[in-house]
This record gives sequence, C-alpha cells and structure tokens, in this order.
Amino acid sequence: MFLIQQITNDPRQKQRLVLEDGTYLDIELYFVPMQYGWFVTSLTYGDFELTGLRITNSPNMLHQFKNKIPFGLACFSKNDREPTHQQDFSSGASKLYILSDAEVTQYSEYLSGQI
Amino acid sequence: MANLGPLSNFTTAATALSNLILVTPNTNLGYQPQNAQVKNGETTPQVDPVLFHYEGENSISLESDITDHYVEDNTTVQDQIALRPETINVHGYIGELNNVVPKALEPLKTIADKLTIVDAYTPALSTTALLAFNQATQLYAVGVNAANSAISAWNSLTGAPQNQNKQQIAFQQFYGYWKNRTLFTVQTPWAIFQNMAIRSLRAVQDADTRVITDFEISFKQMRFASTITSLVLPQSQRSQGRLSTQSAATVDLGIGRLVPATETLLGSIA
Repeated sequence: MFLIQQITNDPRQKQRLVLEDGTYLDIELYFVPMQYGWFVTSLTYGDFELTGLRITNSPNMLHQFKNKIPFGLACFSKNDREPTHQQDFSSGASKLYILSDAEVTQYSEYLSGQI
Repeated sequence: MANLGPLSNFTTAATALSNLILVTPNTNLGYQPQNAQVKNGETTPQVDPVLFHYEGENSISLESDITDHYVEDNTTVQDQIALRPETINVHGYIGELNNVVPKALEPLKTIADKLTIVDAYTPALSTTALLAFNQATQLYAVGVNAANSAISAWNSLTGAPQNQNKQQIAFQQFYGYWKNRTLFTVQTPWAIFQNMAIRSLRAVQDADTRVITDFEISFKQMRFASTITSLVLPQSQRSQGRLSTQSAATVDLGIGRLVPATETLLGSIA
C-alpha cells in the first residue's frame, strides 16, 4: 500500500500519482458539503476513466475494475467512521492508499477465501 | 462613552461646504465658461467671463426630495433624502449705453473711481490719470454712439462681430454657449458654483426701450457619474458556507507523493 500524502482540505483538488511501474494516474477529488462526503470526480489512467465515485472505507474501491487497471484504491478511517469531514484527509482521520497490482490480486484472493 | 455621532455629522457637513468655493471680496468672476482643458492635444485658452452691464436679482435654490411613507396611523415617516442639483437664477442687463469700460481701460477706471471717492489718497499723477481715463471713455462713448461704421471700427478693435449692437452680441454669446452645452463657473453673492449648465435663458427687450435687454438665465449644476474599478473576488471568496465550498476552484496539487505505508492491506482489513 502506498499512502497518498498531500491531500489538503481544499474542496476541489487534483493531483497526478506516479505508480511503481512509471505509469501515472490523474485523480480529482471533490468534497460535497451537502453530502458530507468526498467524491472522486475524475480518475484517469490511460484510456480508463472513472467519474463520480464516493470515497468510503474500503480495502479496494476499484475492485470491480481489477481486470482493467493494475492498481487499487483503499480508504481507512479512525474511530469506525467514514470520511465525512472536509479535514478528514488533511488531519489524518482518514487515509487514502494506492494498492499495488499484487495487493489487488491479494484482496481478490482474500474475498474468494483463498487466503 | 461619548456620542461621536454629531461630530461625524459636522465633519461631513464641513467637507461638503469645503467643496464650495466661497466668494472673496473685491473679485468679480461673473459667468466663466469652463473650457475643455485639452483639445486636439493642446490646452485651450480660457475664454473671458461674461459680465452683465448691470446685475439684477440673483437667487439660488437648494432642493431635496424627501420620501414619504404612510404608516398605519395615517402619518408619514421619512427615511431618505435625495439632493437635487443646485439651481441658480440670475438677471442681468445689457445696454447700449453703459459705464462698463473695456478691459484695457479697467485700471484707469479704477484709478479714476478712487480719485473721485477718496480725495485723501489722491496721488500726484491723479490729474493726468483722470484726464487719460476721461479721454479714453469719451472715445469709447463716441464709438458706441456713432453710426454703424463707427461701431464696426470699434468692434474691429475689440474683436467682436461686425455691425452688431451689444445686446445682439451678448445674446449670440449666450446662444452659442447654450448650443454648445457649455458649463460655467458662476459667481453668486454667496458662493461660486462650478459645472453649471444653462437650463433656460430668456432675453427680454422691454416695450419701453430698444437699448436694454434683460437676460434671465437659469443655471443647473451638472453632476457626473464616475466609474470605480474594483477587483472582483472569485465566487468562492464572495460566498459563505456550503456555496463557498461548492464554487471553489480546483487546486492543482501537482505530482503527488506515494509513500509506502507502514500498514499492510490484510492487516488493515483485520
């Protein structure tokens, strides 16, 4: 797992993340106050594009796309709650991770009871 | 704690009054056309002020619109005062026969007037000066009262239009100013007002005489709108609460750093 470190409390932000293999993905985040939640408004990796994914506590929010992309996106929060505040990522209450290709496979095996 | 409200009001009133140029004694500004400062890249010369041969009644009118809001008990309450522009009404007479001398003779006339009023201050050259003035005014009177050819000769010296009497010249002057929407600096007995435009002009030649015209002029002050350029803040900075968040611009954080996590995936799931 790789921690995405520099998420700020800006309601709209985007950044480019370089993966282990040198490829990169562009991710755009948006905090919606009426929804009390963070959303991935755009995630682009090559010709793969995902819009409108709510960030929730999950070992891999991109599990369903495991055959299309070589990475995953995990979110874990303290105190058993979802990332509902604008400062959650900047304060460290919630953390967003990029999973490696191996971890995506590992999680898949975990779900199928192989691990 | 002291109530500073009245002090503030006085300050405001004093500031408003300081915008008026108060009349100073011994100056006669008359009706000074305000030229455009620069025309075709060159500063235009100031035109001589208009002076009547004899000043009539002057009046000034300050008015304001005050709102009336009727309330339940059939009385009114007022909460707004709008100031109308200042209006000045002046009367003046232009006559063919007058004791107003041309500008070139004014110093002589001053000396002459003083000599006749205050004998104690009569200088040694008084007789000579008085004679010079008398001669000059006599010539001037002769020129005025002569036939058209004589008037033409005089006007050629003074630069005025040919073959026209003083009333016609004065009217044409005002007519031109009215046509050109000229703004005036007007001296009243109480204050000097600037940016005054001719709202109405009435020239009356009485049935009794053809040598005097009564000019009734009403001036109204012009106020000009001014533009202020201000920095328009982004919507997110002009808004509050949720709207500020929703209208925020996207911040580009550049290339993010991925740091290997100390936790493991399976450890986090457990």
